[in-house]
Amino acid sequence: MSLDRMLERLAHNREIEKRAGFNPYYKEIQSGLDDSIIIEGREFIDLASNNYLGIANDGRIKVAIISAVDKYGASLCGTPVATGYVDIMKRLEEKLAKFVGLEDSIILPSCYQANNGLFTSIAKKEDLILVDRFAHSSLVQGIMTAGCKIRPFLHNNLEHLNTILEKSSSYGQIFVVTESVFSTDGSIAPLKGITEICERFGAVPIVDDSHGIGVIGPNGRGILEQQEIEGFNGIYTASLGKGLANSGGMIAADKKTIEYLRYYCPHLVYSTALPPSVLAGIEKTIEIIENEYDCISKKMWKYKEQIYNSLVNAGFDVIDGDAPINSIMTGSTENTIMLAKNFFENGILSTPFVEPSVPINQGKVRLIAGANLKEETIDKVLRIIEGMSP
Amino acid sequence: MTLQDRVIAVIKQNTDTKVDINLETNLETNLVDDLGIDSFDLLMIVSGIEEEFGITVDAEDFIDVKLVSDIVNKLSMELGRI
Repeated sequence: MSLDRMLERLAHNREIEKRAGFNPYYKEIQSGLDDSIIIEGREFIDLASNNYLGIANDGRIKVAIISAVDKYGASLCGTPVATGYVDIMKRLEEKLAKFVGLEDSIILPSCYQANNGLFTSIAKKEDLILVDRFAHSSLVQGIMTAGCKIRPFLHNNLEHLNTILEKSSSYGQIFVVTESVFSTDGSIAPLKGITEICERFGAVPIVDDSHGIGVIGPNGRGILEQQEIEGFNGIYTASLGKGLANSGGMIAADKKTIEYLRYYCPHLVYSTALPPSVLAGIEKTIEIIENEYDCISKKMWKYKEQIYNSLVNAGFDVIDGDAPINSIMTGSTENTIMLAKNFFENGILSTPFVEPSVPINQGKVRLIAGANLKEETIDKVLRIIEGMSP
Repeated sequence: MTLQDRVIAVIKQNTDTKVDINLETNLETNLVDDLGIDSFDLLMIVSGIEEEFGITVDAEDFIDVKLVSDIVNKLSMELGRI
């Protein structure tokens, strides 16, 4: 009875889903991320996961994970400050920091926790946080917990950012927050310009490189490598479950900042540490990317281009981003769900974004083709798109 | 420029490309239905108002606005307090 009363107050509108006769969310996957995936007993082409390099099912990573299970068991049943700080974690913190071009890092159970915990730990009431208008929900939610003044700036607009900073002199500390690769449309932040502006105003840049790490840059090392930023004087967060194809999140910065966060980031201190097996999987993934990015990523970029051209030829309104993401502008929630349904009925799993993940009536359907997909699978995708209409 | 004109200019400046610059916006324009503005846009508009009028306002006070006239009315009250 009390739960019924509680739910009466909470709006959960499923009207569009009912009208479309399709729910694109919580699809039950019955396989790993192979060339095809199984949903409801049917084979689908996965253009929805963030398995950019296609290594989520790589045999070498699986062996590393299994070996760690053999050695350490399922879990160390503790937070990193207690029994969770396994030797692999220490080693991986150093490797991840070096990989992205920074001094040190900490590893959390997810990037959502990293982003939430970061702002709680570093921002105070008298501070100002400037955040890109299109920043990911985890950043926005994290920022909201800080309890200080928040000011969004126009998407990737350095002039607007500069104007706001010129008028913002009465704050304790100013933080400028952005994603590197914006996950819903594939646009990339002008981080080099942002860091230069931050330097001028004494602001701290914070970048979430979740869709950049392992994906962009000449060696897949992410946004700092891609924009040739040396000695980044800011804070870096990233998911370890997208291009790095495992699980978890990281925060990287200079040694002093990371040392502070080790003791004052509640989401790290009070969360059970990632199990050693996951850490071992990430470690092996980093090794593979370091040795093979050039070879693996060629397919990812080629597939992105092929799908982009095919969508444009079919008349879709596609965002021409620099990341290996194809994002179709679909407008209303209804149109967005219907296009995802159309893809699904044609055997393709896509990711529809509707409000509040995107602004009202700026729905998008995202397609990411992992490098694991076979060329004939992509040919099939292109044929399906040819037969579809916007 | 009237107060209304200045508020409308702030709305247009702070809503990126999503709002058609030629779209007629007046006091009766509904922020959500007509302009597609969401809570984050509203935060941008409130910040823009602070800059335009050189004041500091609590964004919470503007959370229930629906029409452009609601913003103008709240702002009139804020300016009246100064």
